[in-house]
Amino acid sequence: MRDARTIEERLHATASVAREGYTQEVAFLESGLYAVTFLPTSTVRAHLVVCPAFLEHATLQPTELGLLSASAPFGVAGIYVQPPGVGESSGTLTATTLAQRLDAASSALGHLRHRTDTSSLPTWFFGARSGAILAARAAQSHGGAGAIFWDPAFEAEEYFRQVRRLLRVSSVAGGALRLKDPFQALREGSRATILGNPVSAEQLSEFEEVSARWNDIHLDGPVLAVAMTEVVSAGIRARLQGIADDATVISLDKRDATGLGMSVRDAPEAIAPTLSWFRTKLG
Amino acid sequence: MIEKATFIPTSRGPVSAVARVPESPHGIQAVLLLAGGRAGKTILKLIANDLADSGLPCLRFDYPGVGATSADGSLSEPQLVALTQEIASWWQETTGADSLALVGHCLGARIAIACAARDVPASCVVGIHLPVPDTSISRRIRTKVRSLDARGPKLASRFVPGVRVIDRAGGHRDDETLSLPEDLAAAATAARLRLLYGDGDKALTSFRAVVESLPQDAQGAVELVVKPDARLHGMPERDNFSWIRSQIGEALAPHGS
Repeated sequence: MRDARTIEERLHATASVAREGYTQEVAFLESGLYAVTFLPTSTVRAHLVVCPAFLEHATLQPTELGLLSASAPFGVAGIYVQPPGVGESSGTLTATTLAQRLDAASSALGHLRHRTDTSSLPTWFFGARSGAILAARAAQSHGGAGAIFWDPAFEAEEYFRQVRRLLRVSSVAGGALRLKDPFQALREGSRATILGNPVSAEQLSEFEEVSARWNDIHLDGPVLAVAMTEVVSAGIRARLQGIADDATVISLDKRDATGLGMSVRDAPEAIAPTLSWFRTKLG
Repeated sequence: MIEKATFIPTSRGPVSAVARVPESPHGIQAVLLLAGGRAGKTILKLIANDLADSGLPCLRFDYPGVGATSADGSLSEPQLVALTQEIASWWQETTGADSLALVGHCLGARIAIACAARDVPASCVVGIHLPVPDTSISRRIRTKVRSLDARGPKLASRFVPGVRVIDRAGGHRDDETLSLPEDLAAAATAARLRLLYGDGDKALTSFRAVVESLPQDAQGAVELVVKPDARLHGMPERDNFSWIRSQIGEALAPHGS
């Protein structure tokens, strides 16, 4: 058996991979969080930080990494950091607070600035579905930063309704006659798993509270929202009015007949309009 | 303790992995942990931490379409086995270990057995809730996804979130399958096999039937350990962790200890 240092050197040698137009790295940050970083080989023109969604992080992660890999050749350095307790990151998922998720986003930006050796570039925080609220909060706390939202779930009540509807159809499709409502279970003090995530009642309450304080947010930087349908995009426009000075809302013109929001199948379609928007912003 | 994220170079592109290496590795074996897609990652992380604390270098990795491993098309089960053989070879070379212990959860257990049945120098295989064809949850989900796909591809991903990604990008195609009895019989001659179930697991009965169909010598080499009043599939993983941990510890201990 080799000694630990030799093994570590060998592991380090393969911790980054050269791709076309960028280098992809995986690493643990000092805080124990797991990070995937995309560093352009050309001049770095912007920083993009993904804020993983609250419940759908696992299903959206491949597409979010896809956005980062597609953006990197255009000079957009990107990073995906798994929040505490998620995936490889240390911590306990049910104990992770919103503040810790925001700290994770800040750590991600810090790591990205360190790896690109610059802190003065345009910065965007990205959030899909329930990650949008986190991205908005993160952008606000880094003055001048912009935000990108995909099918944002700004309203907790409507979001939970969509999740419950999704669970119900999943349950029926799986052959169950009745859905054991995890939201109800949490209210009754039991443990519950929602979309594969163990969740605590405190986390749901926190999400509701932050959602209720949406109007406290103000975003100085440019904002892009990609909506599923024209109808939804109208609602998002209204939500962003007074919140963001420079907001663009794009509709994918999907027929979201089920009303369940963006799925893993729809999400990749949002990459192309996001890249176009980057080009207009970066010149 | 060293915990390091890395990529494993393979013929199918880089595979993201996390290694946990004790400051003073001892013994001659390293451990390769195989998850069942996204499922079971938490428990494998706990197991890796535990085994590394006891001096064994451990490696976990993500199949294509999971974590930071990108996917380019679908992989059949035999292709997943071939990929895992490459990963096992890389880990053995990286650590300089004489042999590997394979610990797999769900689909990962199935692939671990297939690897041990082939050229991977496995001293021991521990399978946690090995799925058995036609009874496993994964098979039923796949069937469900296929039937939903017939109604419209968009529906499938909504009804079974997450599974679709694994199925699409790194998972299973049923036109190429592996033979569990054949692999079990071959693996039993090559490595120590310990399969863990709870007595409430639906796959247990089918697994017993598969074992009974094996040649007598292979039957004797497959060690089945059942946890009473438990299910290892679909239950909160942490609830079964201490039992699973002790079972793995025993299985990985050198012969005669």
